[in-house]
Amino acid sequence: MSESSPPGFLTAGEVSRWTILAARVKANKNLVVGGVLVLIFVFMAIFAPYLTRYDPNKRDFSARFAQPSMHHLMGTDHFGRDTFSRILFGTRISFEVGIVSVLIGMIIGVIIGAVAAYWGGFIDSLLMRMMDGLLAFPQLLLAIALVAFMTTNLGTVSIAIGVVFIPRFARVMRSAVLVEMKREYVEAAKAIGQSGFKILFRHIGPSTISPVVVLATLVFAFAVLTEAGLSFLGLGLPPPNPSWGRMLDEARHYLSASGWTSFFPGVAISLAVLGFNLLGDGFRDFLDPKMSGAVDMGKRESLGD
Amino acid sequence: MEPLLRVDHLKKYFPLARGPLTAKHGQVHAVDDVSFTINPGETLGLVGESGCGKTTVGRCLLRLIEPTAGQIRFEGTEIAGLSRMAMKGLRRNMQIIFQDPFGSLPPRMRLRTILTEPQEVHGVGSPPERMEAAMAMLQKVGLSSEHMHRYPHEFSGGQRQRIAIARALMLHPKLVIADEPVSALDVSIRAQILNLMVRLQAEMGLSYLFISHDLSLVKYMSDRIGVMYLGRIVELAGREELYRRPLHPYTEALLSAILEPKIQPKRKGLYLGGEVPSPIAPPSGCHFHPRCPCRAPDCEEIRPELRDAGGGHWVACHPR
Amino acid sequence: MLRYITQRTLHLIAVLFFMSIIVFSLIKLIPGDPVGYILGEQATAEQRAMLRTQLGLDRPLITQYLEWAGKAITGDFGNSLLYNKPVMDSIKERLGPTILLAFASLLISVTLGIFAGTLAAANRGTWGDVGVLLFSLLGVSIPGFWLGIMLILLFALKLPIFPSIGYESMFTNFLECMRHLTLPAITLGAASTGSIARFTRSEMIEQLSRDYITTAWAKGLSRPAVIFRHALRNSLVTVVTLVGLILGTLLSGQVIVEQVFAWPGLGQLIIAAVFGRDYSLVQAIVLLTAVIFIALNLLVDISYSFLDPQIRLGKKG
Repeated sequence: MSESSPPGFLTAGEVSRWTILAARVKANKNLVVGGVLVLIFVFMAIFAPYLTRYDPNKRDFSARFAQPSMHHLMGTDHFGRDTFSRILFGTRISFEVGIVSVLIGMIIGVIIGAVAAYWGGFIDSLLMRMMDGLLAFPQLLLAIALVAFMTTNLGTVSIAIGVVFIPRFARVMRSAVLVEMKREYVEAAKAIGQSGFKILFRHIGPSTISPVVVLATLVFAFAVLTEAGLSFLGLGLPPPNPSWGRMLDEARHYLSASGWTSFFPGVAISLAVLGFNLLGDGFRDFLDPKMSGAVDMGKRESLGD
Repeated sequence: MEPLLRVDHLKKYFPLARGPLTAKHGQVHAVDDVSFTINPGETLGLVGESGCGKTTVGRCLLRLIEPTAGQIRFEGTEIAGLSRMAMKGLRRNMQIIFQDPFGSLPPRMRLRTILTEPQEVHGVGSPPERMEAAMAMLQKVGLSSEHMHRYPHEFSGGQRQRIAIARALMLHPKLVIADEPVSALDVSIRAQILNLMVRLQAEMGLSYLFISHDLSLVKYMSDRIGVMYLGRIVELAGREELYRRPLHPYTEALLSAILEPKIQPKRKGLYLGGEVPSPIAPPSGCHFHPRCPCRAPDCEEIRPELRDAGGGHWVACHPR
Repeated sequence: MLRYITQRTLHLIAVLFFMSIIVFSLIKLIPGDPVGYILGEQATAEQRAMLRTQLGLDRPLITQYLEWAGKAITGDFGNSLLYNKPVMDSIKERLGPTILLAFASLLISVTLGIFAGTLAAANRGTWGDVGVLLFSLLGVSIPGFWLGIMLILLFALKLPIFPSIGYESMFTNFLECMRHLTLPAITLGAASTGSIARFTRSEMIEQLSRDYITTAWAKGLSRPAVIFRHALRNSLVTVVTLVGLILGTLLSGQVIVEQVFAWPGLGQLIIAAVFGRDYSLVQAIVLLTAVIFIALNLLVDISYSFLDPQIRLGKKG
């Protein structure tokens, strides 16, 4: 399969796949910065108990509103609780809610989008109008409305946020499937007698992974932000859960006593959201050109990437 | 001998609706009453310009597109009304090769899955047996079986078409519809693929419906040839017969467009003016009459049916 | 064009329908008996029965929906349990401050955003450009409530320039009103400014590469003239799209900003209603907001198609 190549070009045999991959990752700043940020938070979430000696919920009234110091890296709050520990454990909450809500939105949304695209016609119109109905609400407002009518725990908060995402995943999946359905390999699969489900799953599915992954990452950022917002409003997980949003809500009543208590949770939220946003943007750029077949042997006319 | 495939009065009209609240209606008469047969082991070529409906005919035979009307009988069994389950069983006998080697293979599936899938769908053999069959077929089409783990995009166009052929043959069909199988390939590769198809036909006892706009390719591959114009077959004859004695003016025009390296001019050139009319509002009577140099008054009113001109030669043209 | 309008209208009706079903169903989410939940333990049987009838819970589901929807269209959402007056009245009281804040934020984000985006586009690759991009990325990531708190910390507590909370009507004291309005409006507008800046920047970059700009240079026009008069004018068509972009952010963000700054708008009202278990009020606000959202989006679509001659004149064929 090797042929003589224009000078300066490396054929697939000369350089390993992984080297090329690594180079592409490095070139994508969004991916790198976002990835590092996200990894840091993942690390914090997993190893929280080992990174601090304080119990995040332990009150110590002798050390209220402490400034950041060697004892308390980020100071303490109005109950004397160590802020750094609370931030660490708060990472877990953000991730838990984030993962569950994104999964809910993704699984349901992807199914709806695929069904709408594959069966088309009336089902498509019906499902998409329902999705539009959901999209008619500003996102945070919908989450608030849903949570308002339910008791608040990890499950309900995640569901409330997850529902907000369903139409977005549905739309993305639907477009991706529609594009693929026009390709001949779908007809070929039908000609063999393959069932609709299997076609969706095996043939079309893999081509839809990229846009869904990009959306999932971006949506995760939004989930973290929304969870913080809900907690801030008092609609998130109940105390004493150290949700970052709740920490901010509690801290703002004591602004004159300590500005630090309001500072760190906000930084945490911002960095986490920023990290996922960058990661999502990075994925989008990274996955896109690859799909047009950079290593495609057939399209010999196209020079370079 | 009972024909393998028998098509009677096949029609496919596509509605032109643009939405529930439009005034404009109309239909694209893609296939407008087409009839032909294919015998076991033979190749029927279907030739015509783009838009004449030949591709639609191919799709209708496999019910990838549902016919509007007409009968399609495969080995005596009527296809058009079959349920999905029954149709699935029949699919083992009829397969298709598409024009685009890049689009007809699933981009994210490895070769081994692509080739074992047909048998898997129909529950043929055990997984190891399927793999063996796939490897054997891959070699049959001229590719090494060590490529099994690769993805389609790692192959060239010609190789991909071989893979597509292999896939189509995994179930040992009796009839293979080849829809412009080499039109998207480099000219130098075409001969290879066509010869492969001929060889496989002999080895596996296949029948082909060879669809193409290229008359020289059709001549090379086919035993009999049907010429289509605007959704209708205007002439149907054996290969040699069609070339020696074209009866329909359209066929004559097509033939004279082929440049042949011959010294003495074999036939008078017949050059057509105008363009192919739109299949939405085809001309009345004989579709070809506006461009026909031998037009008679009847031609505008009455649609000519395929009539027997002797020796298996059929033509849809009023006697001149 | 007529076909387009008809299509859009049908679409609109479908969306409104499904949206209203969602709002209506919200109350069904309450675990257990909604009446008991609302009234609490101490309620007598009489009170429960009365509320049940009032909420129409003793009738079949479809009837409930139709009644609710019918009343909603006329603006009758029943009485607010919390405030003991018609829901619509509570809402009307809060409209003024809400609109004021929304409008101010819109103004800030649009003007600042367009300005920043234009400058960034005109000075591509410089630190200013990078700065603007960074700023917009931060704007999307930084939570509004945190920004608000930080602003209060800095500009109300440390440097007592602005009041930290509260509201003053502009008809009673305009200056005070502006003082109270500043921090909330900046907070609410921050995220949107970033999005607008980014969008304007890419639009401007695209415009600046067009031929007619090169012609303007060749004519010898000064730099500001070229940028602001020519390119900007064409980019302004997309202002409409911009507004559409940030609508959702503004409407959602308002709830949070009003909490931070104790701004007496609908956002604060809905939170009070949620905690007060005043579900009719919650539903009414959610419905209203959604309707406004849909309406504004529709306006954006229509004016967009109006401005885009291809759609207005109907595509050929």
